[in-house]
Order: sequence, then structure tokens, then C-alpha cells
Amino acid sequence: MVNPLYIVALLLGTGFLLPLISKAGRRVAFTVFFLSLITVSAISYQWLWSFLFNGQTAIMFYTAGVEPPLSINFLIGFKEAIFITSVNLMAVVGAIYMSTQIKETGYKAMILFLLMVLGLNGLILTSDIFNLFVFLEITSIATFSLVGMDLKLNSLAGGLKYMIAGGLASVFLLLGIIILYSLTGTLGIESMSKYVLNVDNIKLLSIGSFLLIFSFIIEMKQFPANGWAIDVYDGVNPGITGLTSATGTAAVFYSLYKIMPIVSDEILGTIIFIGTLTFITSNLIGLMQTNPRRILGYSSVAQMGLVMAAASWSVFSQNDGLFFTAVLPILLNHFFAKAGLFWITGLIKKNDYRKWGVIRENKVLLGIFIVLVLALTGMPPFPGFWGKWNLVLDLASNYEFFWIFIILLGSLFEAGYMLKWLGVTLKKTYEKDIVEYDSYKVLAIEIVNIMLLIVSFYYFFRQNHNYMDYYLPYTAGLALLGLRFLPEKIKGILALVSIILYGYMFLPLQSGFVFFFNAMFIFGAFVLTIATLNRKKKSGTFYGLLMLMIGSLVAIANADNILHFFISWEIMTVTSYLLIRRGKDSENESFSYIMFSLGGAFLILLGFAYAYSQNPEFLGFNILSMAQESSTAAFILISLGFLIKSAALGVHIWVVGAYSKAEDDVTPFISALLSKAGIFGFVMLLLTMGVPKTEFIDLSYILSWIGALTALIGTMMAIHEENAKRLLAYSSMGQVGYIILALSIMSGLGWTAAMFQMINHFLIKGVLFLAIAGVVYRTGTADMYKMGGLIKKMPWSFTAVMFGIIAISGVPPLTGFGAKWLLYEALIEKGWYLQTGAAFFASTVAFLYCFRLIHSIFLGQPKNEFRNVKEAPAWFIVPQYIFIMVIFLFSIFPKLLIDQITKIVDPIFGSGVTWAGGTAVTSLGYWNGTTVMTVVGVIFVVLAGGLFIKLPKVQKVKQFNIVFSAERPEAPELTHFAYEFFRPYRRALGWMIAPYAKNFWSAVTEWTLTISDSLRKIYTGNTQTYIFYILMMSVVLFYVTVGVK
Amino acid sequence: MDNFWTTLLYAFMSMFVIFNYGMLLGGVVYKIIARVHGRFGPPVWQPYVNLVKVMGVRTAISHGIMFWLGPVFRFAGGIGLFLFMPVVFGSVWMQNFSFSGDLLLVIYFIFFGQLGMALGAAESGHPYSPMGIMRGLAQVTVSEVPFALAVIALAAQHGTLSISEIVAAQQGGIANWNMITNPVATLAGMMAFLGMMMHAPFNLHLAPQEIPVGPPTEYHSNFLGYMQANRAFFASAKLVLFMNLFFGGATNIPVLVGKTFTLYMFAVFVGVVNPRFTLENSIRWFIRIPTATGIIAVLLYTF
Repeated sequence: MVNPLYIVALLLGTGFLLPLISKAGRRVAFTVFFLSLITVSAISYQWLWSFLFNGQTAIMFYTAGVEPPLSINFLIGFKEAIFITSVNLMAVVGAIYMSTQIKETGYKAMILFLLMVLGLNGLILTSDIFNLFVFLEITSIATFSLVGMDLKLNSLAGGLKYMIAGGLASVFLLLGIIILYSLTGTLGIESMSKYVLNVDNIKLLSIGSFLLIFSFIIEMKQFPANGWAIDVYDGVNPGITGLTSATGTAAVFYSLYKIMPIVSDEILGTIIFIGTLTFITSNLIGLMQTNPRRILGYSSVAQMGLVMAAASWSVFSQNDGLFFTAVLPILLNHFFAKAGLFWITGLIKKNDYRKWGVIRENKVLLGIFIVLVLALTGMPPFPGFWGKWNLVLDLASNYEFFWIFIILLGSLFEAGYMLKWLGVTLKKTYEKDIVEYDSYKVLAIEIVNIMLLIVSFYYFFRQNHNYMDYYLPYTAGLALLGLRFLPEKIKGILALVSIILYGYMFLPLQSGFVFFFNAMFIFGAFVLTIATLNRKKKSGTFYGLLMLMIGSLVAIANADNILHFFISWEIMTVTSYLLIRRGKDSENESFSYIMFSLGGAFLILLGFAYAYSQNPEFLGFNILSMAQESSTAAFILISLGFLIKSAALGVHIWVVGAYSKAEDDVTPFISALLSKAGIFGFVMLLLTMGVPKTEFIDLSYILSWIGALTALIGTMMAIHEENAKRLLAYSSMGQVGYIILALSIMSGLGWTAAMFQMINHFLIKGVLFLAIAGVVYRTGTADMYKMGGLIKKMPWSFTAVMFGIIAISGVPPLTGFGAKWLLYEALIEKGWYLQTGAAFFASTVAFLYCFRLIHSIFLGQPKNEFRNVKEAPAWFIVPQYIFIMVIFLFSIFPKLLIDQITKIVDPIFGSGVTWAGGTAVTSLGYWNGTTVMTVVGVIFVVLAGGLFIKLPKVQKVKQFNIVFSAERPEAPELTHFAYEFFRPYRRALGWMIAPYAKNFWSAVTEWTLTISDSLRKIYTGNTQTYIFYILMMSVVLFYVTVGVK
Repeated sequence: MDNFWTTLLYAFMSMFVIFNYGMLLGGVVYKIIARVHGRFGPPVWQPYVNLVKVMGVRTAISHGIMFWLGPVFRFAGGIGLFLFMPVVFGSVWMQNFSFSGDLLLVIYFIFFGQLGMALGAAESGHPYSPMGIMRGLAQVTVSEVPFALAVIALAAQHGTLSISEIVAAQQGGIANWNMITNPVATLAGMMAFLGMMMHAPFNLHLAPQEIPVGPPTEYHSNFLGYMQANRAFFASAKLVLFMNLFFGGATNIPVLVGKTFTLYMFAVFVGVVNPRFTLENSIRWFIRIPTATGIIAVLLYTF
């Protein structure tokens, strides 16, 4: 094993020799420079390898045969090996990135670069506190000088601020070292941490420790002493910024981590507090940023705060394992993602994130950009997710729920601005600009991306190596993303085949409710994907994303512990967001969608944490049933998360935008399948936990009203929509409200009703959205009043929609009636009469929008431009009629479906529906679907036949052949009554649908942004102000922690 | 099988009775309205004459298949509604197909005919048809609210949704009628009844005496005949429903005739002296006092 001192020696030596070597030419000098970096990385990597696989133990290396502080001693252990490998590898990549610039500037830049790397290595390896100071100085000086390498005003200003703040930090550090040395008589970090326990003068000790830590608080750019940091990130050359944001942070953080054992628990607590405070305030301020570099700056500062707090917590709670499971992943995630993103800003030099659409010119960069942003947002499978997950669970097992909440809130803010940036970049139109792509820079970014993926895979595999089967559902999606060059139809057929394979693989494994949901997802996904085969436009990512989303649904339905469930839930959220974003003009709506979804996901995580706290170390779903004191909290939080996904009243404002703006063949998936994921969550929650008993309120009663009001208000809002997709979106909201209402009854009959309604809604929404997709495809618009009279040209679509609306309104003899019948019987049996009334009102109002949908589009008078539309393509018609056949099957023989449902419901809740021959019987009433269908059918046929016989000579007239009051209207366009169809209803009952929820959430957003804006203003750009903040902070913090005595 | 044919035969018999009753009822109402207005009025058998005349028209115009099917739907809805209800309590031959479903089926089946009619009329392409449909649907949906609440209160009171059982519980004298035992629900139900019978002040969607507005605008000939025949069934069916729910049902046909006639007169008398509500006003009216009454009726049984 190579003595790590050679790292220092090599870097220093090369640095000395470079002026000589450069006489032989720039290229030779650069090659030598580059080789030295590679050698240093190789040495670090060799150490890492032996720690990982050869059981190496930590070794201390001394120099010059003398004790420190006169010499240097290096301690290299597992953690140090990780850090120096990462830092040195990143230095190599950084050198690649900046190769053009370095070659231009000459050997001076190379020397400074080497010096900086030397300093970073020293920071990580040294085990003497004064050496720490020395290496910190070396790093700082090298960094400042590198910053000034490009002589721009912004860079120099940023560099100056960096120098001044760094200088202050050094002062504090030195003072602290002096005090501590005088108290303990040693400068070795390990010995110091032992001797501090024996010190008498506690006051002086705490002052010394405080000064020590405060210097690192400045170096780690914590709030509020960090205004200078953001200006540095903003102004300085992005190549350097990327490098320092990654490597500098890592090294400084590790030095702080090394000295944490020296300081008292109170100061550790202060570090946790400052770190978390920085995390949340930085992310909050980041919300208002439009300059990408400042955005990344705030994110960096926030991540540093989180990492610092987590590390301090691990020392405080003496949990060394947490360092590897939580701190390191978050740090590495930040490490690679930030470097990559800063370096991309070096290529796309736009100062306003709204102009970043230009990155779409380079697909490779766009792909990397998406990956890095998702990694930073904390999505699986990237390391940031694992770190946060493990941190949350560890905090949960210590009952620190407030801190979990703060961390999740900060993460939500961070997701907010990162996703706003991503969303704009993905679709917004941009000015075509010539962006010069320095190939070295692109190469460097690609390497960083690959490193991130390797680390991600490592963590993923480590946490899941026993469960790789559960991730099979994602293979098809990833494969399709890889096979993006294939023609659309081939990819579509591959998608269909893989859905069948998933069904074949997973269905036999499951039973009960899980089987039921799985079957619904597989069947639905298959039929709905047929419609996507109509696509003409080539798209690299559509089928990949679609299969990933379907895969996540299958994975959710097959998850058997909370980790798998949550991972798949997040992947479902992200993939559906990206799919919705593909729609035209969907920027705001998709952003609203993902913010609500992420908020819901974090609430679910918080709920899981509550349950976990009672049963640490277990991840199975049964921790929910064993949650005891935490069960109410867990239940409320998790069900809130699922309510958000199901678009319940109050958190529904995203649903209409997301459904209507998504592409027409994507919306059926979201409505028919994704909303059922929320229901699945509810079912699992209620099955494992039941509804916890509380002293004052009945949670199931509240849930029932949420369901009933969602049904009522959703339906009321639907009737006023002019756009067909928006109408159906509100209709979905209402119908899912019924399901929630039925589930809350918690009886055999109630759950039978819930499952029946769920299948009913799934089939019908598939039909309706597909039919509308076909109509929109032919007419080019979804506004209903622009259409009309399409029945003659699109009879198949009309018939499908007709059956759809009969089924959804609950008119016998189709399945909708069965769902309503079961629901009302269940509600009256339970004694919840008012909810029944609300549900009934909602159901009758549903007629209104049903009629509006079909009349405005298909009946009445056609407009001239649509006189010659063709029927919707067969790709749309076939799936609709598959669903309709299923609906008819279940209408004629409802026993088929109800039997399957009672098989899974009755063992848990007892019997709700029994059968007397073909008649379903409950405690209140009875229904025989087959007889009803027969009677109605016979009457219908007889009457129709009678009419046909009696009227042999019927004259067919064209649509416009109408006369009224002896008047012939002039233009058909003026005689289609469709716009504001229910205006009297709005006049009379408009107060019911006043936008309370929308106003509420607008106010929340307004307030958050206002607070963000006012916090932002403390960063004046003026260096003196920043120094003032640093000093003030030191004073205040000192009095708070050490105190006046 | 034997059972099935017998049921079918009985169904035809009861349909015959009710059809004639409905037609005559219509004629009597014309007479009464006329007398109130100071006229003589048409003869009592006028509805038969109208029907025969309309069915005999030789020409017919159709706007399409849905248009053609509209009256079929309507008529099927009316007959179906009637057939799913038990008509005379305790009678062997007037039970129809009431074993197919309970009260919920009956309530929802009311909409079957309306929906089909709406679709058919709208295909006519005439703008006044959907206008009338919009008004009619809006009004019916909101008048269902107090009705549903009254029904729920009844279900809570008797613990059943089967019409036969509700009627059975009301036997044994007038003191057992739901009108006496559950007056609040009856009140709510009767206010809804006015909306459902579609006499003034709730007859906006047909707006007779004004411009020809509403679903029947483009219909004539046999189509119109189907709709007129349906009126007999539909009105009688609704009357029988209300009689069964609130007024003790009927154990023989004369009682049936007497009760339903009185019920209908209630709607007619209210209608004859009142002007017409606009749609907003009727919606507002229903959502206030009738709904409040319904809620009170339900609350009485919640606690």
C-alpha cells in the first residue's frame, strides 16, 4: 500500500517542477499535470479497494520521525479513503472540464490546481488540529487564486468575498485551537477528544470549542452568515464552482466531522439546529430565484446544512452506522449532482432559468440534466433518496418527529424550485441560440453522470439485494428507454407484450385484494396501451416513460414492505409528472400536480415514520397495525397523503389541470389507473390499521364526509365546464369520492360497494376518455361548444359515450346502478343518512354533465368545419368496445363481479351481500340485475319493433332541416345550444362551488413566496453587510450556547 | 317457467288497467282545469282521441336513429317504472316484476326514460329541444333531493328499502300511514312530488301555451303517440309510488283509484292557481325549504 504522504509529495513535487516542464510546451505540462492527478486518484482508489474488499484497517502515518505539530501525521481509515477517492476522482474530471482554460492560462493555473487538491487531501487525512488549520489555509489560498483565474469582474468580486469570509473563519479557527491546546496540552485530534473530558475550566473549554465550530459554520456557509457564499456561486467561473461545491464542501465537511468528538453535546446540538435551519431557509429562499447559478448555490448551502446536521446527530446519538447509511449518501448525491449541474451552467450560459429550453438542442445534455435534477430532488433510485430515508427512519426511532417534518418541508421547497426549473426546460419554447459545446466539458459532465449512476446502483443494490425481484416491473420501461430509436409501433407492441408478461409473472403470486388490484392494473394498462398505437409523431421517451409508470403501478400493487411501496410511489409520481409535462402548455398544471403529489408522498413518509417509531428495525406493513400510541398520527398523515392522490375536496385543485393538459391518450391512464393507486393505498392502510379509535372524533365519520363532499362538489363543478377533458376530470374526482365514502363505512357491504364502484369507474373512465381522445384527434379541439352534431360522422364514438354516460350516471340496467345500489344500501345500513343524501344529490347532478357531454359534442347541429370529420381511428375504438363489452357482461350478470368481490371482502368484514338465486339481498333490500336487464330489454325490443312496423315510410331529413315558429334558421352554427349550458344552475347554486380551495392554496403559495422574498433581501450583495452578519451571528450564537456566567 | 309466464300475463293485465286509468285521469284533469278557468273543457275521453289521431298520421320525419329511439326509451322507461313496482298490496296479479329490485331501482329507473328522451330530442337538431331538456333535467335533479331525503328517512324508520315491506308496515288503519308516523318525511316528499309531476309552477321545460319548447318539439306522428301513451303510464306509476310510500298503499283497485286521484289533484290544484317558476327560482326553492325539511326528517332518525 502506498503511503498517503506520497499524495502530498507528488502533488507538491509536480507543482514545483511545472514551471520547468512548461518550457517544453503547454501540452507536455498539461499531460504531466493530468498524470499526477490520475496517479493520486489511483493511490486513493487502491486504499479504498483494500478497505472494501481486503479488510484493511486504519493506519496512522508519521513523517520526519518527529511528533506533530512539527511534522504531519496522516490517519487513513475507511472513511478517509472514501473521501480522498471521491475528491481526487472529481479533481481529475474537473481538470478535464477546465482543460481548455487551464491550458490557456498556463502552468500557474496548474500549480494552483495541484495545490488546491493537495490542501483538500490534507484536510481529509490529517489527524492533527493545527495541520488542519494549515491545510485549510492552503486550500483557501489556492481556491481564491483559481477563482481569479478568469479576470472577470464578477469572479474577482466573488473571490474577494470568499477571501474575507475565509479569513474570518481562519481567525476563529486559530483562536479556538489556541484555547483548546492550552487546556488539553495536545494537538492531536484523537487525543484531544479524550483529554477534554478531564478539563476543569469548563467555561474556557466551551469558548474554545465554540470558536472552533463557528469557524466551520462559516466555512460550511450556514445561514445567516452565508450571503457571500451565494454571491461566490453566482459570480465565479462555473468550472471552479462545480469543483469547490463538490470537493471543497466534502473536505471541509469531513474536517468538521473529525473534530466533532471534541466538542460538548450542547454544541453538537447547536450544529444540528443551525444545519437544519440553513436547510429549510436556504431552500425557502431558493423558491424565488430565477438565476440558475444562484438556485444551485442555495441548494448547495442547504445540502451542506443537512449533511452537517445529520453528521452531528450521528455523533450526538453515538450512531456511527448512520454516517454510512444517511450522511454519506446525501453528501455523495450532492457531490456529483452539483458538480454536474454547475458544469452544465458553464455550457448553457443563460442567467434566467426560463431561457433554458435551449438545452433541448443537445439530447445527451438534456438527459443528464434530467437525471441530475431528479437526483437532487431526492428521488429514488439516487443516493439522496436512501440517505433521507435512512435519516428519517433513524430520527423516527428516536421520536424526533418535528425534525423529520422540517427536513421534509425543506425537501419539498427544494423540489419546488428544482422542478420548476426542470419543467420550464422540458417544454417551453426558447430562442434558438448557438451554444458552443466544448467537447471536454461535455465529456466531464458525462463522466460525472456515470459516477452518480454507479454510486446510485451501489446503494440501491446494498439496500435491496434480497429483493431485486420487486424491481422487475421497471425493466421494460428502462429497456424501452434504451431502445428509443425503434419505430413507434414496434415499441408499442413491445409495451403490450411486456404488460402481458408482467401479468403472467405477478398475478399468480398474489391473492385477495392485491390480486384484485393487480388484475385491474394489468388489464387496464393493456387495453389502454392499444390506443397509444395511434401515435404518429416519433418520440424517444414516450413508451419508456409509459412502461415505467405502468411498472411502478405493478410494483406498488406487489410491494410487501413500506420501503418498496414508497420507492414505487415516488417513481410513479415522477414518471406521471414527466408524462403529463409532455402535453402542450402544461407547465403550470404539471408543476401543481407534482408539488401536490410530492407533498402527499412526504406526508405518507411522515406517517410511516410515526408507525416505524413504535417498531424500529421492521419495515413490513404490519408495523402499521402495531403502531399503538402513534397509530392516530400515522393514520391521519398517511390517509392525507392518499387523499391528495385521490384528489379529495380541498386538495383537488391540481386534478383538472393535470388531466386536461396531459396528452389525450395519457389521460385515460391517469384517470382510470393512477387514481386507483391512491385507493389501493387506502385499502392497504385500512386493512392493516383499521380506523384508529380516538377519544373525541370518529375518524371514519370525517372520512365519509370528505368522500361525500368530494363527490358532490366535484360533480357540481363538472357541469359548468366547456372543455370535455376538464369536465371528465371533475367527474373523476367525484366518482373517486364515492369510493372513499364507501371505504369509510368499514363494513362488508360498504367495501363491496367500494370495489364495485372502483371497477365501474375504471371501465367507464377508460371508455369516456378514449372516446374523447378520438374526438379531439379528429377535430383538434376539446371545447365542446365548438363541436356538435357529430353523431352522423362518428356513430361508434357516440354509442360508446352513450353507454358510458348511462353507466356512470347509475341508470339501470348498466353496472352504474349496481354500484349506487350497493353504496346506498351500505350507507343506510350504517346509519349515515346525511351522507346518503349528499351522495344521492351528487348522483342526480351527474346526469347533468353526462347529458351535456354527449349533447354538446354529438347531438344538435354541426359546425361547418366539422361536416366532414371521419370516425375516430380504430386504435381508439377497439379498446373502448373491449371495456364496453366488459361493462355489459357485468350488467347482465352482476353476480360474476360481486362474487369475486365478496370472496375477498367477506373474510375480513363479514357478509354484506347474499344471494337468493340471481337476486342480491342485503339487510335492507334486494336487486336482480339479470331480471332487470331482461325486462328492460324485452320491453325495449317490443316497443321498437312496434314502432318499426307501424312506420314503414319514414322520411329521413338532414340535421339542419328544422323549422320553429314558422322560421327557418340561417346558419347551423348559431343553432347549437351548448355554451354555458347550465347557466341557471350556476346562478342558483354557484355559491356551492366558489373557489375556496383554490383561494386557500393560492394564499399559501403567496405567503410562502413573500416570506421567501423577504428573507432573500437580507443578502444585500454588500460584503460589509455579510461580515456584519457573521460577527452578529457569532455573538448571538455564543450567548445562546455557551451563555453568560 | 310456469311462474314466468304467469307473471308476464299478470303484468299485461295490470298494464292494461293502469293504461286506461292514466288516460282517463288525464281527461278528467283537463275537465277540471277547464272548469276552474270557467270553460267547459274537452270530453273525458279526449286523451284516447288524441292518441288515435296521432297514431294515424300517415307521414313521419326522422332525424336519425337516436331520434327514432328517443320515444322508445321514454315509453320503455314509463312501462318499466310501472312494472318494477308492486301496485296493489296483497294482490296476486298486481305485483308485476317488483321482485327485481327495491325502492332504489324504482327511483333510478325514473331517469332511464328521461335520459333516452333527452338523447332522442337532442338529435333533432332543434335548439329548443335541448333547452327544454336542460331545464327539465335541472329541475328534476334538484327536486330529487328532498325526495331522496324523505326516502332515506323512511328507510331509516322501517329498516327496509323494499316497497312491499314499507306498504306492509302501513297496514292496519290510517294511524299507521307514514303520513302520520313520519309527517316530516311526508312533507318533504310531497314538496318533491310537485316538482316531479311537472305541473305549474314547475312546468318550465314544457312551457305550454308559450312557444313550442321542450323535448316534444320535433316529434309528431307515432313518435308523439308513444310519448302521449307514456304519460299515462308514467304519471300513474309515480302516483302509485307516492301512494305506496306515504299513504298506506292500496289493497284493492278502488282504493288505488281513490288515493292516486286525490294525490294528483293536489298537484293539479297547486298548478292551476300558480304561475310558472323560472329555472333559477325553482332550483332555489327546492334547495331551501324542501331540502331543509328532508334534512330534518333524516336527522330525526339519526339521533
